[in-house]
Amino acid sequence: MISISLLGPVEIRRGGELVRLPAGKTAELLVRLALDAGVTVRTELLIEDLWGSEAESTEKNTLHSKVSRLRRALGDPAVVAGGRTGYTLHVEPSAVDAIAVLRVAEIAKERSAAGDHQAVVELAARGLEMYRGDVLCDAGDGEWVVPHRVRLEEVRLGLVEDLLAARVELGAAAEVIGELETLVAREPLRESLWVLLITALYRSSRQADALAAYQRIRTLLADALGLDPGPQLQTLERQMLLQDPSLEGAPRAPTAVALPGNEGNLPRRGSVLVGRDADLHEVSQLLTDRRLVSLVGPAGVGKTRLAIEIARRHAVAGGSWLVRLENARTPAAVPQAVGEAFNLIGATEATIIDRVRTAEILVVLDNCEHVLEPAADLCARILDYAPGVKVLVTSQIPLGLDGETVYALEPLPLADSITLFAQRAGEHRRSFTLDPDTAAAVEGVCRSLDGLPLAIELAAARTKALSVQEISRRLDDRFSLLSDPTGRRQERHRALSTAIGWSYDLLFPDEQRGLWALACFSGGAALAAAEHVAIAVGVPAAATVDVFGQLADRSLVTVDIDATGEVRYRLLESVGAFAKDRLDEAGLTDVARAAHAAWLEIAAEEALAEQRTQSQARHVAVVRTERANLDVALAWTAQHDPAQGLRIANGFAWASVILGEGAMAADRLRRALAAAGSSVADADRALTLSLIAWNESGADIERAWAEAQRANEVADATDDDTAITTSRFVSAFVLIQQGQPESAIEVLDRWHAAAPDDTVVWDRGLHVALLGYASFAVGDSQRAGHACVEAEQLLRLVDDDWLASHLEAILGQLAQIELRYPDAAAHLTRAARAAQRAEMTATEGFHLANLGIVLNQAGDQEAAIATFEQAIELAGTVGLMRITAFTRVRLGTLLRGLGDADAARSHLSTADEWFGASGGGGEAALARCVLAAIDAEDDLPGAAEWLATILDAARADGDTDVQVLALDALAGIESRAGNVVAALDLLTLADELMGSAGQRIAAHDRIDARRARALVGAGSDPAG
Amino acid sequence: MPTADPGQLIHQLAVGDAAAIATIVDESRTSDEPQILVAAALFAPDGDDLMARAGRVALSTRDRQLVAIATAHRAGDRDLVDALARDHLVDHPDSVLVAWIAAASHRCNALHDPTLDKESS
Repeated sequence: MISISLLGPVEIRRGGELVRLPAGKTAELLVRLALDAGVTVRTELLIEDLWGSEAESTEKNTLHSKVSRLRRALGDPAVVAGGRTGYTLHVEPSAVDAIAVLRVAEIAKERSAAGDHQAVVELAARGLEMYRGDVLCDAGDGEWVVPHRVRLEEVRLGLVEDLLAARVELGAAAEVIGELETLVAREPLRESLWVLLITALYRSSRQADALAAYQRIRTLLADALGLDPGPQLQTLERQMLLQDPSLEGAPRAPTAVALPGNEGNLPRRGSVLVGRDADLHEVSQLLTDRRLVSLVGPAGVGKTRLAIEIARRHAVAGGSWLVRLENARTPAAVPQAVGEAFNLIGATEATIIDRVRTAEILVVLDNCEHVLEPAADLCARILDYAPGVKVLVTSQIPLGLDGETVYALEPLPLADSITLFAQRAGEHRRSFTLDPDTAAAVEGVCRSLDGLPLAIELAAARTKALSVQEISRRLDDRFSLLSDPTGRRQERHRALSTAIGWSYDLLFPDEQRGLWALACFSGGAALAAAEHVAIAVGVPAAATVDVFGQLADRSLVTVDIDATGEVRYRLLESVGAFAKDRLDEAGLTDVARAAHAAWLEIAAEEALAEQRTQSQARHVAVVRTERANLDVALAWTAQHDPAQGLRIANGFAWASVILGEGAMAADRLRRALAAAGSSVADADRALTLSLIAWNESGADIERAWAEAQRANEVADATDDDTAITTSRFVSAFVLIQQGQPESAIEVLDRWHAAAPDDTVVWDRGLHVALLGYASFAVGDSQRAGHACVEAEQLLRLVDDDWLASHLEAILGQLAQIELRYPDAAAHLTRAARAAQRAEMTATEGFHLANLGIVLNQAGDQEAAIATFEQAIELAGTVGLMRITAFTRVRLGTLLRGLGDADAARSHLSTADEWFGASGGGGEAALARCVLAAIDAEDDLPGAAEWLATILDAARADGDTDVQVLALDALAGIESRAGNVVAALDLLTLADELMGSAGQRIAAHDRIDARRARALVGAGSDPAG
Repeated sequence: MPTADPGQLIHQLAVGDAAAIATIVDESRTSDEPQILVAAALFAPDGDDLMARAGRVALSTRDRQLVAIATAHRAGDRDLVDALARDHLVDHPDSVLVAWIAAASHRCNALHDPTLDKESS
């Protein structure tokens, strides 16, 4: 096998061995033929190319002699084949680097267009590695070689561009700026490079530099060519001036840099990780065969940053999930924080286990040291019950669990510390360079800060205005004041606190106040909230945005931008603790906390006023985002203004019901009510108790009933319509949940009889919805029908999606019972859409599952499959695995009927596995029955015995649906065996039972019965 | 008499026009201009009051930073003045008064020693 390298001095390798090639015309001949490898090059053309102006006087014999020398050098005459018209180099084109690189560049372009930036990085790097110097440098000076050289150089530059563009897209914008500056200096009129440079500057928060770069190319083009910048550059300028969010690039989900199929919730890339190559490698290696790895080290050493980078690179099907525990202060807060990462509302240990049991994921438990015990407990449970889960912990102290691998993270080595400082300093001041003048000072700073990345970043952030020598001097002064040499650990802690204190002291007073304001928040602060508190502690409104921007610029605050573009400011834990102390010293803690509570009260009042309008979803989102702040505010108001605390809790309570916060919201309300004590008016107390019951009904139904009872008692002692109505409705709701729909109807009827004529539409709507559900539950379809008629009328008047969703659902249920499938599908579709608008993902998933059933009943199997799949995905995202499993059973059954036994088995097995691990349930028996029927159809041994066991269990449980399907499947076995009588007996039994079957199966679900009848030639087919 | 242009007065101060000081102090009696109040506070005997007024009327980031720098200057914290002024001038290179304060804080024999002013007030 011969390979030929032309992208540098010519090299030929035969079987890996270097082949010596004569220089001069022989080498030129090889290059000429290699560039057309596998293709015959005419003799005349070869002479013309190689001898140029001397071609006319060159004999063909001269060419032949060069060919002979080349053949001898190559050691195989057949490689250079001669014919009547010319010569052919018989080498695979892919073995010639100058040809292979064209293909690599082409694929890189294709991957770039497809948005696969990681692949582009790899391809472009591979292509660039092929270039070993000046291209075709042994090809002489003939004119023929010029276009080849130009083309290959163009390809090289294109690969560089592709590589840098991909790196910008992958979040390394700041990293490539230097290289781009060099390139634009070398290729000043190449606009595509300027586009990249400007984009990289912009994405590195250097908007002014980006605009200045645009001015540079504009001037350059005008001076050199008298031209304006091209459309791409002009668009870029417009986008910058408008701060177009699209300029930030596509949201960098972890998938962008990780592996295909990787999901999760890792934050988008911020600054580049400096150093840590060995740590990255070692911890990543540990994670390949260990399930619990703890990164342990002092504050500020960079545990979180490293853990996120490791998680990004970790290939795992279900993605990597970051759980921030810095705000968890109680044992119960740990599972809640984990649940929030998975988008599970009001998560408990059990629901988390449920969610991750069959998942293949990496969980990053970040900042465990202050909740070591509950974090360790939860971690142990997850590892016990979820074999596909790995956990990466960051903590100052190990969890102390069996099987835990502890990796002690040391501060950065000096060289990496210096690189980190230089890199960050370069981001703050473009002109910063590490030269002999600055190197010693940077080294001194890094040494004094003990290699702690956070401390180094704080110092580097000051290079915008201070020289590194001044930073060094100022830090030295600070250290000499604090000199108290004790142990190493304390020394590191001192380095960090000194760096924070030093950075803080150099802040303008408004910036210090901005930091105090942010210290009041838990789980970050939205801009409006942060501004509210900052103003209270003395920052003028006009200056607040600048203040937070400056704090971010000084690396004291991190800025998160969520998927909707909302900005959220966060303090690193050590900075937050420091700022809290300064706030205390300033004597403004109460002022700031009061402003924090006041901001939440304003938000709560808005939520209360708009809870039954189209703005509902916005307030639900506030509760979801601000849960930690809500708890902080309620803790403060409990001590300082309990009435305000109750107003806050009540204001958000209905949004919590819609969100499905359950016990968490109920507890919040209980705490607020208890703090308010006896000063609460009875009407308010009754209302709060009702809201507690509504929320609690999602968790502990008995407790919810007790709260509802109390709400009724207190409301009865008042003449407050709102209190009375709310207590009655919640009672009816809980009674339906408890399986007592008759009692619910009684409650609703009594309320209706006493309700004033001018009852508001929303109350009438809820009454109808509850009445409809209860009537369906007792089988009173006439009453349900009446309720639906009224629901139909009220739907036009109702303005909120929560209620609309419920009204549409009961209308859908009625239509389904009356076999009006198109109507049922229309109502359920609207119910699902309303739930989606209200961000009730669980409800949406439930409606979609029912919609799938209706579509199947209506005979639209294709739509049913798509809807079931959508329901499964949706319910899965919020961890409602029971709905997911329920839907899989339906989908599996449907797919089986359509002949796709493999897909059916897959869905049914997944559901069966989940039911088996989660206490079973009615659907579990159905799943097993259909699985056994598939086994029987496939003639698998033991299928008949399994079906018999299932049939016995169903008989014992009184589960008619499963009995019917099991009998049908057994009849199928008999029919295939030719036992006509036995088959018909079983089918008769099944037919008799079908009359009393539930709503879970319909005639068309009886696939085995149909097939058995066909085999035995039975005429009538009750199975449809 | 028409009110003098604050920017012009500060420029005059910066180039060493002693007459500008008197005008600035005079203007400060009625002005709500942070630059004038701060500049006057550096020379007038009622500097604390003027600084307090400046703090109240300064609402923009630029003016707030000016007040902070002047406060540090009057407190004699030359190191802090130096750091804050550099920071300020990166974003506001045309801030003549801050540049003047930064320079003054470095001059040992300044026209007016702010620490003495503080002690005497």
